Amino acid sequence: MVRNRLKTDRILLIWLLATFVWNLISQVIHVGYLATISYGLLILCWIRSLHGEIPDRHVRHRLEIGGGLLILLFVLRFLRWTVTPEGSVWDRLCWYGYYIPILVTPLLSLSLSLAIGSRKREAQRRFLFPFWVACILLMVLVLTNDLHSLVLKMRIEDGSVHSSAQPLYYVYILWYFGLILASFILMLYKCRLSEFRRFLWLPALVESIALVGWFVYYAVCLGSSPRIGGISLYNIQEVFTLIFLGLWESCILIGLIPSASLSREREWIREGVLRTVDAELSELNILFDRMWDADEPAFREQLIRAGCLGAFIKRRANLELIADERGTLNMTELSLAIRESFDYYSLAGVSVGYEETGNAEIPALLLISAYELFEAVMEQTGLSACYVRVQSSQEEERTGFRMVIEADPRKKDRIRDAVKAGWIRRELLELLGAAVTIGEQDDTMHLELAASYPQKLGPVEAIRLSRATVAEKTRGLSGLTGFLSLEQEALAEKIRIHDSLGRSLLMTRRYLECPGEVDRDDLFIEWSRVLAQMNRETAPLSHSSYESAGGWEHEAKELQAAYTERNERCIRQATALGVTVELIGDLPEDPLYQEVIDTAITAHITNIRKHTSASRAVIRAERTPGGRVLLLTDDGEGPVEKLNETGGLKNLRAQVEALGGRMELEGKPRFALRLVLPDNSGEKTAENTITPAAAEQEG
Amino acid sequence: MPYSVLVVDDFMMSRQVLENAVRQSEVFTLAASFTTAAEAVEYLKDHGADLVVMDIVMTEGMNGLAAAKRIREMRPQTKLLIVTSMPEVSYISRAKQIGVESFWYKGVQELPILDVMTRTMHGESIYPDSTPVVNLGRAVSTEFTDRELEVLRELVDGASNREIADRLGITERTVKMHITNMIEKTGFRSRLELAVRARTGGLVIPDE
Repeated sequence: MVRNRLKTDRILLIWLLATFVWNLISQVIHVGYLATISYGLLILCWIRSLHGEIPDRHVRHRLEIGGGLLILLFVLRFLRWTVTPEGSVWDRLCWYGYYIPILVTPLLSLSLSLAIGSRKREAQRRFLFPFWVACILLMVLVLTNDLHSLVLKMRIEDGSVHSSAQPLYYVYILWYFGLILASFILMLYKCRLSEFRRFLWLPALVESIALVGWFVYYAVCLGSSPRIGGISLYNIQEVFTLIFLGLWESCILIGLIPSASLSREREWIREGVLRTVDAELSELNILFDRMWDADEPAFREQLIRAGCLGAFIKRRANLELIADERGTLNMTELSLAIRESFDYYSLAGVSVGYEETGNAEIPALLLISAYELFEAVMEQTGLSACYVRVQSSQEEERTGFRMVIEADPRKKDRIRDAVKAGWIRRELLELLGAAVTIGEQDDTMHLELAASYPQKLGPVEAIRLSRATVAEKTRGLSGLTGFLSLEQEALAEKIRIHDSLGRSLLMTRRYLECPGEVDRDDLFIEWSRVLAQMNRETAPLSHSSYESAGGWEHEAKELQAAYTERNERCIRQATALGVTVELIGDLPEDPLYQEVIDTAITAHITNIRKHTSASRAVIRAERTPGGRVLLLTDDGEGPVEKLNETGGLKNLRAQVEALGGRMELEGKPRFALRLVLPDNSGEKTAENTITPAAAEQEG
Repeated sequence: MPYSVLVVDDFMMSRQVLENAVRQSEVFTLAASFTTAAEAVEYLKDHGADLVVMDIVMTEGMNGLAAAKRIREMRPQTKLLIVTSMPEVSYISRAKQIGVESFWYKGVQELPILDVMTRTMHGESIYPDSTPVVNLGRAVSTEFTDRELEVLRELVDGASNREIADRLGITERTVKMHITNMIEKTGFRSRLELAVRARTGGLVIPDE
C-alpha cells in the first residue's frame, strides 16, 4: 500500500470536466439551465464527500462553506436567467449577490492555505481579521450599489441591462485575483515537502487552467463568455468553481489535506481491524478536533488522553495480530500492553503499579479480554491509582490465569456498569472456566478475571476457541469470497496501524517529556495522518489496482519512489525522536521489500528509544551470496542480556518470513538485528557477509 | 593471598561495576558471578568464598536477604556484604538480624565499595547511619513513625484493614487512623495511591 500516491477514487475533477462538456452540449440542445443544475449537484456531492473524509474540522468547515457559497452562485445565476425579470430590482440584487461568493471564497482559500499543516490559530485569526472587515465592507458596498453606483453603473438600453465598471469595481477584481494568487502560491510552497513535491503538477495544472480561464473572461473577452461558433465555452461562475474546488480537491488528491479514500474492500478491512476499538477511535477523533484550539495546559491534558487511547488501539490491534497459529499469546504481551498504557496514565497523574508472576502461553481471546477489562477500568475518570497483578500457573496439566485490578475511582458505579454481567465472552465462560468478579473493600475496588483450563484443550474446544478468536480478526471480511489477497492486506493494515500509531505515540511522549524538541505542528501533522488512515484506509494493493495502473511494473515504480520517500520520512521522524540514523550501503530496490525495510527501521528506532541509551541507529545493507542482508545496530553500550521478541519485532519476523527470508536477533557483543532477504535481482553478489563483529571492526 | 569474592546481582551494569572493582584490586579475586541468589547458594554448597557481595532485589527467585540467611547457616565463615539501591526501611535491621557484616547503598556511596569490602574483611561491620530519605508525595520517609511504616508494609502487601489489624495486634480503627495520617502527610488521594506510590518509590518492597 502506498500512502503518498494520488487517490484515484475521488472523481470530482473528472466529473467537473464532464459537466463542462455537458454544458457545451446543453447549449446546442437549448436546455442551458440543466448545466446549472448539474454544477449545483456536483458541488453538493463534493460537500457531502468531505463529511467523514477530512478529520480536521477547521479545514472541513471552510471547504463546506466555500462549496455552499458556490451553490449560492449558481442559484443566483439560475434565478437571473430564468426567474427574475431583466432589469428589475430583483435581477440587480441577484447580480450583486454574485459578489458574496466572489468576495468570500478567495478569503476562505487564503484562510485554508494558512491553516493547513499549521495550528497557529490565534495568529491566523489576527492576520485575517482586517481582511474580513474589508470583505464585509466591500459586500455592503456592492449590495447597496443602487444607492451610490460606486461599483457598477447600471443602465437599461433596448430593454436590456448594461453595466459599466466604476473605479471601485477593479478593487473587487484585484481582491479576487490577489487572494487567489496568494493562496495558490502558499499551497505551492507547502507542496515543497518531498512527500508532495512529485504531485505538485496537479494543483498547479488545475489552478493554472482556472486562472487562464479567468484571465480570458475578463481581459480578453472583456467580461463576457468566450464563444466558439456561437456556443459559450463557459461562464465566470464555472471558472470560480474550478478555482476553488479545483485547488482544494487536488490538494485532497495529493494528500496535502490529510484524508483517505474509500473502497469497498478497504471498508471491510477497516471493519475487521478496527471495529473492536470503535469507541476509542471515535473519542480520539473528537479529542483531535478539540486539540487544535486548546491552550497549552488543555492541549497537554488532551494529548495525554490521546496517548492513552492511541496506546490502547495500537496494543489491542497488535494482540490480535501477533497471536500465533495456536491462538495463544505469551503473558509478556499483556505485560507490555498494560505497561505502555500505564506510561500514559501515569502522565495523567494516576499512580500505577504492575506485578506479574509466571509466563505461560495463554489463549489469545483470554489475554485480549484481560486487556479490554483493564482498559474498561482505566477509562473511568477520577482514578487516583491502579494496581494490576497478573499470575499464571501450570500445575497438574491445568493452566491457571488470574488478573486482579485494584482501583479507586470516584464513581465506583461506573466501573460496575462498564463491567456488567454478561460482559465476558461465552467461549471464555464455557471453554476456559473464566469468571469476572467485582468487589469493594476499604475504599478500593477489586476486579478479578480468573480462568482455569486444561493445558491441552480437546480438539473440539480448541477449534471453538480458535474460531472465536478468528471471528474477532476477520469479522468484517466475511463474505468476500474471491478476494484471496485480503487476508494479507488485513495483516498489512494492522502492521501499518501498529507502526503509524507507534511513531505518533513516541513523538507524543517526547513532546510531553521534552516540549522544545518536538514541533507542535509536526505532531499535529503526524496525528492527523494516523487518524485519516484509521478513519478511512488508503488504497491497498489489489489486482484491480495493478491492472488499472498499467500493470505491475508501473505500480512497482510508483511504489519504489513512494517508499523511498517513506524511508526518508521515517528517518526524519527518527531525528525528531532524538535518534540519528546512519545508512551504509544500498537498500534493496525491490518494491516487495520496501514495506519490511520500513517496519525494520521503525522497530529498531522504537527499541532504541524505549530500551537503550543509544542515540545512533546504524543500518548496513549489502548484497551477499546468501541474499540481501540488512544489519541494524546501534551505538549503545555492551551486550543485551535478555532479548524479548514482542510487538514490532514479532510483526517484522512475520513479514520477513512471509517473503522467504529470515530474521536473527543477537545480544552480544551488542544488540543487532539481522535480516536476510532472498535476492531476486539475479545480479552478482559480493563475497562478504555482514556480521555484527565485522561491522564493529569496520566502525 | 587475595580474598575470593562472589558477586551476585541481576542488573548487568551493577554486576560489571562490582566485577571490575574486584579485578582491579590486588586484595581480591573474583571467584564467580551470578545473576540470581539461588545460583549463588547452590555454588556455595560445593565451593567456598571469603566474601559474598550480593544485591537484595533480584527479578527471579529468592531475594538477597533470604539467600544471606541461608549462606550464614551454610558457611558461617563467609562474610556477607549486602548492596542495594532500594531505600526500603526494613533492610538494614533485617540484615543486622541475619548477621550480615556490612551494608552498602549503591546510589548513595558514602564510601567506595572497595573500601567497604576491605574493611569488612578486616573485621569491621560497616552500616549506613540511616536509610536514604525517600520522597513520598508531600512527605519524606523520615516523617513516618515506626508503627506507620509497619502498617504501610502490610498495606503494600495487599492486606485489608482487618488483616493489618490482626497481624499487628491492633484494632482496625487504629489501622484506619494510621492510614489516614499517612494520607494526610503525603497528600495522596486514597489508600491505594499510598500503597502504590510506597511500592513504586522503593520505600516498601514486599518479599516475593
